[in-house]
Amino acid sequence: MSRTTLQRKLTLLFGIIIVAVVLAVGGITVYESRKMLIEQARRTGVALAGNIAAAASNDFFNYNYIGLEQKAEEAAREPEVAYVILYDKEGQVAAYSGQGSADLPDSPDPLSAETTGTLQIFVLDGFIKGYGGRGLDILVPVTVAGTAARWGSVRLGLKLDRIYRRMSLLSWIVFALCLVGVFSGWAASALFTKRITIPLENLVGAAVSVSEGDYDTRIEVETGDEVQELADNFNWMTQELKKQRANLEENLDEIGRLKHFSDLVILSITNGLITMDRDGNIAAFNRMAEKILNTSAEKALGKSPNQVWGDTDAVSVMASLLQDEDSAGEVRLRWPAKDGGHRILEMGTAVIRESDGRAVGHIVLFSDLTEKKELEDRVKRADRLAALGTLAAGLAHEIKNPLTAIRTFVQLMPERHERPDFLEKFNRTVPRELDRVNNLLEDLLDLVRTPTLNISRVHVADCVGHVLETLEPEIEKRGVVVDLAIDADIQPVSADAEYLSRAIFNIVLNAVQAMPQGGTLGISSEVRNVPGEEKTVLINISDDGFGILEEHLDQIFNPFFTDKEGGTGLGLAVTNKIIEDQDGSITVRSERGKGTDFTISLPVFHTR
Amino acid sequence: MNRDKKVLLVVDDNIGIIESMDMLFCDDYRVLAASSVTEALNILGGIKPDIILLDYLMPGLNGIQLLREIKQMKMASRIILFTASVWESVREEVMDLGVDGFIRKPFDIWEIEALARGIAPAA
Repeated sequence: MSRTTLQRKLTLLFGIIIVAVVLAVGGITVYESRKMLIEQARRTGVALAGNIAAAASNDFFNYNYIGLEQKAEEAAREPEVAYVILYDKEGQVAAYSGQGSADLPDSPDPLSAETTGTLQIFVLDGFIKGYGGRGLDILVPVTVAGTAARWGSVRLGLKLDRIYRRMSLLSWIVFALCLVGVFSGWAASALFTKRITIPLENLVGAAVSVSEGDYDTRIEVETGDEVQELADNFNWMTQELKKQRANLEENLDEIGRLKHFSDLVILSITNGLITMDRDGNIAAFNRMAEKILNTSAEKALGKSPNQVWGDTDAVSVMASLLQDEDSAGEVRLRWPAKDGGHRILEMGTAVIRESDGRAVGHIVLFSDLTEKKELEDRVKRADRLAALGTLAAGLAHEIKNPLTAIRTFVQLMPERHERPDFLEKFNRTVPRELDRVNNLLEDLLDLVRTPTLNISRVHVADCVGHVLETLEPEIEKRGVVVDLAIDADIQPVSADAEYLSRAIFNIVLNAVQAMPQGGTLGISSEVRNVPGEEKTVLINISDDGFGILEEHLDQIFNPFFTDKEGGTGLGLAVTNKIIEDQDGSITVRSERGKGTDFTISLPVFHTR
Repeated sequence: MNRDKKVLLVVDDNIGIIESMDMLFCDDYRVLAASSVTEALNILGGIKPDIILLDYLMPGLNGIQLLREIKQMKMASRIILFTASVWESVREEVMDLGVDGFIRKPFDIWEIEALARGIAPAA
């Protein structure tokens, strides 16, 4: 495992460094100590030999060999001294501390005759034969005060075994100390390494937990160094990750909900809905589509309409709608039903586009109009019957009044036919009431028949003039003032002169009758020319009479609606029909108590 | 004109109805006529008729509105309402308002005569 390797590596590295340092320190210590001890021994030996030389100088001077012998033996009694040899100036042994010449050590090469002839001091470190161990062989010249000549030499063997023992002991101590140092250093390095690696291991463990999804993992490190900083950053990063993760999950949930919702919308939409991908294969097919087209989604998905329904007329209509890339098309088509009949569908298509305008598919939306159309037909029939009922009721009402009058006179006839006042009233009322019934029927016929119109160039001023002439007695009787503002040069209209006059007559008569106490009848005209619309002439007829109640305004063109005493309610209905038959229209504005304002609009005449 | 005759008011916008009712009742009643509710209210301001023959449907204010006015004025007049309407619901509506008679046009003269004499016999 990598984390073990890191710890081992660090431990090994620190261990090697510690061992190297300890060994170096130990080695240097032993080496330096040895050098110092040897040097100390050398100085001691040289001093000892110097002392002997000084003490023996007189004996050399006097050739007192016994004295020399004594001096040698005396000096050799020192425990450190292995032997003392005194040489004369010829280099011959003058005295020797040993027991016989057999014990006499070999003259080491540098200390041979050549060296004994000089005034220099020689120290030789080596194995001393006579002594059987390591020692220093020291040669010191003997001089006599006042002379520069060498009188002889003192050779001293100095034992070094004690020093070597001390040095050996010292080496062992140093070795032991080194071992202690190595082990404690190793332990310290292991501890130190651990101190670094444990937080790292924790970090690694935490990272593994986080990677497994446990975002609540926290690392508690109080080392106050980079490791703590790293841990703090790690904790912060984990918190951030947790937040991001939560956001992400929330977004995913939201996306999931939206997806579910849009799926539900598509499924539940009350219209049939199909979507198609770029290749024209069906990608979505909702429940209503299954029902209307009598095809299961399973069978339709992933296939083209041709593959699902074959090459039928309905499919080719759908295909032609889909090919219209630019605009959303809408069409009614007949879809074969399973009972062998047809269903009537209203179908619309639209291109699905990416935000950059690229087409990625199509939506086909359709609804089944079959039942709606049947219902519409039924309603139309019912409406026709209801309209007929209303018409019949209105007609009955209008006929029953004159019938009542006529019946009364007829029933009174047998007993009153001789009374002159009766006959007079009979002759006045009965024919008038009969006329009324007849006129009523004529008006009704006008309302329902398609007139044979003689459309020509008609001058509005002529029609208005004719109407005013006819109604002059009515106008004068009520003291109505006519405010005529018809432009004689206004463009002629396209109309049937007789029918237009009847329409104007009806409206002017209503206006006059609305002013029993007099008032002003206004008649004016103007040309209306709106770009994009047909040019028309407007004929405006206004009065300042009773006015029409607001709630009656939308009924005044209905047959048998009247707010006039003795009115049949057919006048305006017929007028409206006459104008509409001539491609014109009538609008009305009115205010109760202030008057009414009718406007007839007719197309301007132009030769084609 | 006999001042002792009972007064009969015909309220109808059709001149033919007024003329025929006048002809029917003129021998036994003093007949007054109004061709609109407004006119009738003017008359009722001064005269309290014994019988009112009232048309149900008239332009402007209709018979029902006049009937309500009369009921509010607490007049003793007996009211016969007639109508040319073909709708069945009219009878229930006016009976609820408390009329003395309801008759549909075109009626038999003996029928309305009997009705009038029944509720307000001629003097």
